Amino acid sequence: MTEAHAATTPLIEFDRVRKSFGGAQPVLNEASFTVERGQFAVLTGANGAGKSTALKLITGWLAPDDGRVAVAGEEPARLRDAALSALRRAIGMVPQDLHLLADRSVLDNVMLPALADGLSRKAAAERARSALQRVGLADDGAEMPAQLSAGAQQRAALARAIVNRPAVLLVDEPTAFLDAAAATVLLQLLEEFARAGMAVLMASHGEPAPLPSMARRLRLAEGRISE
Amino acid sequence: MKALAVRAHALREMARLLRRRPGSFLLAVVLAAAAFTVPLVGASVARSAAPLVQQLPLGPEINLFLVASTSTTEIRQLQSLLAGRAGVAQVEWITRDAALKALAQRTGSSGLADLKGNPLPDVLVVTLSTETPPAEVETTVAELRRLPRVESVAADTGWHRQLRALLRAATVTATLVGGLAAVLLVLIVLASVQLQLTSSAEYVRALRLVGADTRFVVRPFAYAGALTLALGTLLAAGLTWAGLTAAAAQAAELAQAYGASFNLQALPPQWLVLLAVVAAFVGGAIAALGTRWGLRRTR
Repeated sequence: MTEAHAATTPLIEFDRVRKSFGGAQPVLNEASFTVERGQFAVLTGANGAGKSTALKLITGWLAPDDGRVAVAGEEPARLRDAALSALRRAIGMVPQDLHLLADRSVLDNVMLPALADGLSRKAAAERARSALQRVGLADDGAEMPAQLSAGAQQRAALARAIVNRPAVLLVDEPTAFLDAAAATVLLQLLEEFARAGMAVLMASHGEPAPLPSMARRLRLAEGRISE
Repeated sequence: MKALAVRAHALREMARLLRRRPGSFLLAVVLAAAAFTVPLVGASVARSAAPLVQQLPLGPEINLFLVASTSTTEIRQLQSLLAGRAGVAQVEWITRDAALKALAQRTGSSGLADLKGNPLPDVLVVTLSTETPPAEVETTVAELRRLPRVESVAADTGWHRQLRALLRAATVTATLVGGLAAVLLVLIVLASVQLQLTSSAEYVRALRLVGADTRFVVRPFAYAGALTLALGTLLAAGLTWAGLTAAAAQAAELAQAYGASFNLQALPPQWLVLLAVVAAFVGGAIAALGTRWGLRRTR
């Protein structure tokens, strides 16, 4: 993803995307939207509306039935293993169930993407400490994930998502199980990452309050996305 | 640097993988050793028996009994004519005097000394090459019968036939045992990989999530497969060595009772180390394929 390319192409692009499962009513139907560099977009919709499907289309876990999904101009559905993995390393993803590994420390969890990117353990640890510091968990690296609060676990997963300094950050229902204070901290962090130049796309079943002023609201209903 | 870093990480993950289910790993090593031990014992016994087998007359022998009046020159001409034939490994001339002497020694009969002359003929013993098929032996016998100065021909083709059948049976048995061991080893590694994949499902999901490519995911499992077969081979080598050492004295005693010398010994250590290295590569390859197969469902 070159700088010139990134400057002219939206980092996330949905163009008349259609996706259905098993011939049922399509979850996404002619869905179109873009997220540019430095934008913070919040995709809201009811449970089962297709928000997680949209995120999975971006990361290439699913392929659209029709239309085009692109990340910095690359279509994940058309990429083979190595190229798709490289694209995923350029996308920071915080899934709803976090996928923090219970048998290793927070630092080891956060290091994982850097190690997968070929960094030495020492360099990966340095990056992971820096990422933990950005999310306010500088002192929690040695803890096991289960020892952290729900909000801190979300931030640990966020640190793991940004450790490879991605251009795109996807966050699925991050505030679902957080109290208002923890949700606010998290949303401030996402705003900060967007201001630093990332394209942030957050999926949420309701509009978490208070949403940062810069946030773009995208509403997903009956398969279509409206602003 | 990057290549080193990912391999170092894979080694650490392999250690973590084995620590997670040490019992399964040890069981896989012991099963691999058990599967390896049978062909290893077979190979050791075959290698120990090789000097004995080399002494056996493996090629079919045809005895040409010459007419009594055949001169030395004629016998020599016949001997070189036979030696030049295709498929003939060796032609030995047993003179009638040597034959009589041998007979006297064998029978211990003093009566032979009273004979007026030597009634035995000169004999040319023609040894054909080991690969000669039985049908060709019979054709050769018929051809040799028509040679001048040949009174009669005797050939023990039955022995050759039995020996070939025995060798064929031994080859088939060795192939079957080797094949069975290979299948068992593949199954052991694949089963071990599936267990490790199941117990590492969360880890694999997290790796996929953060964009690890397939090779990065597969590598620790491949290393574990390599280690399983390498340790299995070394354990099998140890068991074989212990078994053969225990049986060596009895085997030597048995051979001595038949007037032979037999030294039962394990394969040389450098062969075993080479075998362990090859097994490690094979184990790694099988485990890598098994892991890729297991990961196919997660794009």
